[in-house]
Amino acid sequence: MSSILRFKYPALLGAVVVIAILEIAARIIPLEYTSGAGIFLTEKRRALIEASSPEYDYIILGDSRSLSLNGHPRTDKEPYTVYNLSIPAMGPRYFQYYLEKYLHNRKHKPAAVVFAGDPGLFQRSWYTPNHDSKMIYADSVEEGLGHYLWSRFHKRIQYLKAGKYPDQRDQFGAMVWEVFSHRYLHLFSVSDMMEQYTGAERIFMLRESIPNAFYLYRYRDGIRQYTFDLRANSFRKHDLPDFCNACSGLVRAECHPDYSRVEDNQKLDALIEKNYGGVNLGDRLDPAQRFNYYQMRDTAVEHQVDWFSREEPEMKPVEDLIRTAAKHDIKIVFSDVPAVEPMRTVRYHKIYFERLAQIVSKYPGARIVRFPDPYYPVKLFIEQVHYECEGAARLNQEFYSSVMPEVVKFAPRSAP
Amino acid sequence: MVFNSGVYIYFLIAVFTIYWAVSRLPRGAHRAQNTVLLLSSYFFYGWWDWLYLVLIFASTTLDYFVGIGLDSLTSERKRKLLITFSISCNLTILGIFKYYDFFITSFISMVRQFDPGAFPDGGAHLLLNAILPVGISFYTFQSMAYTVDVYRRQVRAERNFLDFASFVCFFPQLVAGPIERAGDLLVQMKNNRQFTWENMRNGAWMILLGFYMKTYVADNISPLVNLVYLDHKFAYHQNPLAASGHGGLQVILASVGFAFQIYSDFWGYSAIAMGSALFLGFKLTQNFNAPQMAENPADLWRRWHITLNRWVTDYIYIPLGGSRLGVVRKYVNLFVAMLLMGLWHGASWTFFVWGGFMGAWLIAHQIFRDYLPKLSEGAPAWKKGTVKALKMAATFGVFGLSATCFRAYDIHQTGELWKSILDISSYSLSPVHGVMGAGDFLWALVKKLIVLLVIDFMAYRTGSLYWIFDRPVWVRITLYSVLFFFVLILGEFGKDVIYFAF
Repeated sequence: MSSILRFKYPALLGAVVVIAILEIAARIIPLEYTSGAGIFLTEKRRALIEASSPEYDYIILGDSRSLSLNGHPRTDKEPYTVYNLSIPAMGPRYFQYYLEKYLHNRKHKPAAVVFAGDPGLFQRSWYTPNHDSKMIYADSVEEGLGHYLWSRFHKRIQYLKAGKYPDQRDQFGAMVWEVFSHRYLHLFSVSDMMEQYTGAERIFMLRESIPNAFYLYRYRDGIRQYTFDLRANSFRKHDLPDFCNACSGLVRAECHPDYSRVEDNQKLDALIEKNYGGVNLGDRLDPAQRFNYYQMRDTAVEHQVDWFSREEPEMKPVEDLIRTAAKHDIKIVFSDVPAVEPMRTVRYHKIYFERLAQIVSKYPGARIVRFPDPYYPVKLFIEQVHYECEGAARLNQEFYSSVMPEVVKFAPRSAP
Repeated sequence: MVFNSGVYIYFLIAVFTIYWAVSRLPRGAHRAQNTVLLLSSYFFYGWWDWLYLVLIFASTTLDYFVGIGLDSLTSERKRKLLITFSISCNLTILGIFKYYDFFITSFISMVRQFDPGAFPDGGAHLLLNAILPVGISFYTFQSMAYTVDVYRRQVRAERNFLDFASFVCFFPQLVAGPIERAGDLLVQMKNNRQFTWENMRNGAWMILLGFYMKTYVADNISPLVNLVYLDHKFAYHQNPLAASGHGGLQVILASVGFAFQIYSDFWGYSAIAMGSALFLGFKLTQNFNAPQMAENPADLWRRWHITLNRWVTDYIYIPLGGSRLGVVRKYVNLFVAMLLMGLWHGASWTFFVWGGFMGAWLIAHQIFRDYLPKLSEGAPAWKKGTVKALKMAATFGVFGLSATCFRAYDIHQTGELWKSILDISSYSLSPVHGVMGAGDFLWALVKKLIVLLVIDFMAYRTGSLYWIFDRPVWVRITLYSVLFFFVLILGEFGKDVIYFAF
């Protein structure tokens, strides 16, 4: 075979060599800096959880809102380290494996995991298998391949008789995969997918993740940006005045030049390092985006309240996460970062916290520590989910004055 | 499962491995290979919806027995009855799934012209709202052609069901053609296939070319075309005004852009089909042959969707009388054939009008071609070349303008587009109606098409799809790497194929 390639098809061999050289180059060049901020952040998280150091005393898990919590190094006042591992919008099903992977290479376990994500993460609509997000054929997230194939056969007949497909899950179920699949594919490797999923979903996730094993494909968006859409701005450096570092600077146009992706990711990188994983997404908007979000904030809050008045929580991933922490003898604290004020009365939150209390009561290593006021005024939010700069400041102040002392009391830091 | 997706690559690798593995069996290798082909074809088709398999199996079984019946019967009257029965059944299946709702809604609209109170629910209770099975027009036509060929005693009926079913369902060409004839494909099903490196080389080239055309050219031109034609029907019905008021130049460029888009989309898909078939030892009919190099409409239709054109010629135009019954009848036959070809593409008046336009254009060309000025034999080469290039540009330009029917969501939109084209005052190089300026539009199109045009020109000049293998090594390495890079970095994967809707 090799002799045929060498002598009969030299051009094919030559093309393979060219592509191999490009692939090697893609592995050497830090292409994650040329990708969008969502991918960059996910890649940073992946690098951290796959490493064996550094080790932290407390880690925070959650979503885009809890991402606003800053971690910190050991200080005289707070003699423990905290790192925020939150990742925006990936649904409720990855936390267990994410935590396992973080612990896998580390000798010293954290004293506690603080789960600070929005309770809305556990809405039933998001608890769906990735290969059939609307659950047209799937009955549950962990069903076997045989069951799924049989469902595809017999449910199809049922739908034929009924004359329509069912609406088992609405578009929000499909949204997690359709919109945020890049996060799964950049956070987990092919072997991670193999371990993490079962049945038809495993086949689906393998199918989706195998192309990502090739860096030319994995970073195709960044490569495209820096080859075909190359701009002079890609290499420009912006030096900004000091007032851009304050909350008031966020609304000033001069603090929001047209950053290149690389420069934006470098800034993000510096921020993650400085804040120990924390990034307030609300601070990353330019004045025009900020204005647009303000315009629709009240409507968005109304829709959110309306949505969560009808939605039900699915508590299995919560319990799975507690069990994983217990398996590693790590304590877990549930401390939901505050939501917008109108969410205080929604039915979903009431049910969620009742069920969470029931589950937590069964595990001595689990506890709920809520913020002094778990609902903030709407004006502290950019839209219905993410904090204004002032909202993030209040959040961090309350987290370290009220929540963390309770966490430390419940799970004292062990000596490294 | 679409060709332009990762899952198809996995599927093809798996089929390829098993298919050639069973070819080494000491006995029954041919049968084993056809069994692998049939099962993989059913798997491929059932990937969309296994219920469609019932339909294709019914169609296969019907035509299998009809073929045997036609071969065995000696009475011409009975043979005629049997072929009528077979064609009726096939057309009924096609009619129910593809045309029933169209004719019912057209009928209701007509009745309501006279009696606005009729059908208060809009006739909703009469509609089937059936989902169109993928590729139904392709395999139904292929199957019908087989029975007609047996009826005409051009081929013998196939008595081996496995071979016949593999012919009807051969997965590389099942959902988007080429529409093969029994004389071409069934014969290959009957023979042993040999693994050759030449087939692998040619197949790999066709697949690379197909992926490049579909994922890069077609799916990157699509957003440009949609600036004028809108993304989808829903967007148009939500706001029909968005389809009007465009600049004339932008409409022309988007229309010509659509001609290139559908060419790249369909020929790209067909090229992957050809390549996949070559991997399995089969040669499929070339469905396109550099149509942008056509110098007139007749030439264009010899280069565009060649297998459908051949089908319509053999099974509609010639049975209607072809050119044997005088000039007027020839034009009528041509017009009818093109109208039906239009309707084959979809159940919509826009396709009907498009077919009529094509028919009228072909007839006009036949009438006026003798009156067109001709260059003398001794004209200089540059003059001949220029005239040829102008003819090509004009032919493909007119074809592109037919997109105003083919691509439009309804006749109203076609009308609005033509209003823009005919309104010279709307011609501007600046952005119009939110669509980029004509200069930028043209440059955006040229950037996406330039490599494809070079490849097609080389195929046209050499008369071979495999011209690349006669080029120096460095040219081959460069082109393979460039195409691969285009597909990998700039390609859009998993997008729909336009011809699936037909």
